[in-house]
Amino acid sequence: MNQKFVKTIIYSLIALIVLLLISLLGISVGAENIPLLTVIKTLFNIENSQLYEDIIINLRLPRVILGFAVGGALSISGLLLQGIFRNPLVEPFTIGISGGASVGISLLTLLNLENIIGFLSLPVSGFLGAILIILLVYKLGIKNNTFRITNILLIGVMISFISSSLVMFIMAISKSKDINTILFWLMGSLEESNLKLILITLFISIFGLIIAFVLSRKLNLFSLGEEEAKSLGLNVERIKRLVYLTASVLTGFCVAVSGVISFVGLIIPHFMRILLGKDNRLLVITSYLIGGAFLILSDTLARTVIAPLQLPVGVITGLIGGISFIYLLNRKNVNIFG
Amino acid sequence: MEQIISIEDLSFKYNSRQILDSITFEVFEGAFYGVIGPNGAGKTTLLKNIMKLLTSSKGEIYINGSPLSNFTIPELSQKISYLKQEPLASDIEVFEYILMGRSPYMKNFQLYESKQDHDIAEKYIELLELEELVGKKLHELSGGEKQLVQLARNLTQETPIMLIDEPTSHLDISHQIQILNILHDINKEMNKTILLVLHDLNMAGEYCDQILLLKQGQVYCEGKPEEVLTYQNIEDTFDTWVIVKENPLSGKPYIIPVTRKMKKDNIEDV
Repeated sequence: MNQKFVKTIIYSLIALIVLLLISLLGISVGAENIPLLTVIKTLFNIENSQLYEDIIINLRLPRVILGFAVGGALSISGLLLQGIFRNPLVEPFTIGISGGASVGISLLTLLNLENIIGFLSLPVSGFLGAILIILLVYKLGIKNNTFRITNILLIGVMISFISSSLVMFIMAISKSKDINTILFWLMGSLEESNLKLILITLFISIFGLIIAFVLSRKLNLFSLGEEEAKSLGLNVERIKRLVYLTASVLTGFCVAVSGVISFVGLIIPHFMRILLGKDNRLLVITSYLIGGAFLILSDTLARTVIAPLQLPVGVITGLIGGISFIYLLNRKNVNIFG
Repeated sequence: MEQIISIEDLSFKYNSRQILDSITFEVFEGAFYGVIGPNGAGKTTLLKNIMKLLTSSKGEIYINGSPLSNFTIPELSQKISYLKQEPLASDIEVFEYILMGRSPYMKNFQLYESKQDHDIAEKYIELLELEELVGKKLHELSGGEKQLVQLARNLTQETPIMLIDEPTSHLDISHQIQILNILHDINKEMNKTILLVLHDLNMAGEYCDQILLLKQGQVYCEGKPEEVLTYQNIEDTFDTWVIVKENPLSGKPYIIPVTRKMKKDNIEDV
């Protein structure tokens, strides 16, 4: 069998074990600490205690699943985008998607539409906002049949600025209760009570993983530059568009469900690259699993650091992500660029 | 012999600037064909048009008699390989890079190269004696090594036509000769058609069977080295004085540029 394929399987299994361990930890730790053994027994239905079952199955497990789905999706979005942009500082939120979603959510809150649309109004309006921006950036990025990557990046950054101004404007004219809703959403959180929505997110996230894995070899060619990739038979234009749409729709969905959770999409691909090298075939699955684990861990911290109060998970990912990123940048012999 | 590349009335505009202007020429199968001309004459643009990296505004390029537009991108990359002028800057491993030459033959959903692909890559690594470099990263290589590795990647692509853009421009004289000797052998022994852009007129004269001289995007003249590399042609296109002699060893034209100092000192003799 192909050596690289075997390597991918082995490292993916290791990442899977890390993920499972952190998931168990995430389920076990909280306002009420549950022993690991009890967690496992409850999950496999060996032991039945109504209280534990409530906490584990109804509260913490869905949250861990959402953390996995969102963390994984953000990580591979970052990996995909860094691949086609050939820029190590790109993360899913750089290209304006979170901006669009924030404006969507803020408008919804300002106009009090959630009472009219119903309980899914927050994610739906966030997703609509994100999709609108994705299409706008996509449209603006194409000129002479070429998807101009550098422009996309600049347009995305500008749209982020414009949207944050709009959000501030909306907050300035909102009632303080609404400001709270907007702020809480902006800070990102995995608190989502609708199990269906969580399962849809998981489904979309895994679907994204499959697309990313299929694209991974082609993404390797991108590291040589668009011209050389094309001379090696790669339909560069098609791949750029496919990657952009995959990554941005994934991000849009994540943002709509769990708000802005920054740094996961930036730090995880880098971290995995430093550990495992540049081969995207190896990076896609491992980044996905470790990204999921990272978000579950961050969420566990967010729930426990100042328990019984909960911090928004975006605070934790931002802190851990930012600090470790600066550390990595300053470490010798680490070339994350190129 | 058959025409393998045939270019008819090709023009290319960048914004409003005319880079290529009604270019027509033919390359026969198995040729070692040199493209020369001053900076900005359109040499690289010409290669990129043949590789479909740029799209012409007028005219047509035929490969084996079929217009370029008939080829999909993967089909074209099985016919033509392109060695770019800029040196490699990526930090992937040498072996991985050379293996990427098999990419045109891989299916859409195929993620890993086959055993056969590995064998082909190894064959060319052996041919160019690169065994010691395979574990290194591209950015750790010297200029000459980079050029050889790039060449191995192009050979792994196993195309009948190779486009090569200034393969010697960053190299010292011994590496220049090394690369050109290898290209010469590839051309003669594997019967590959090589179309290469060269800056060094002496090297072009020495190695190429046929030379195309471009000036401001137009074909100035085309022919055998001794027909193209004349004092008059070079002065007209490069706008500089030269002395053309015959190389005593090969009989090919040999060019000495005339500097301002030489002119002042010996103007009567020239």
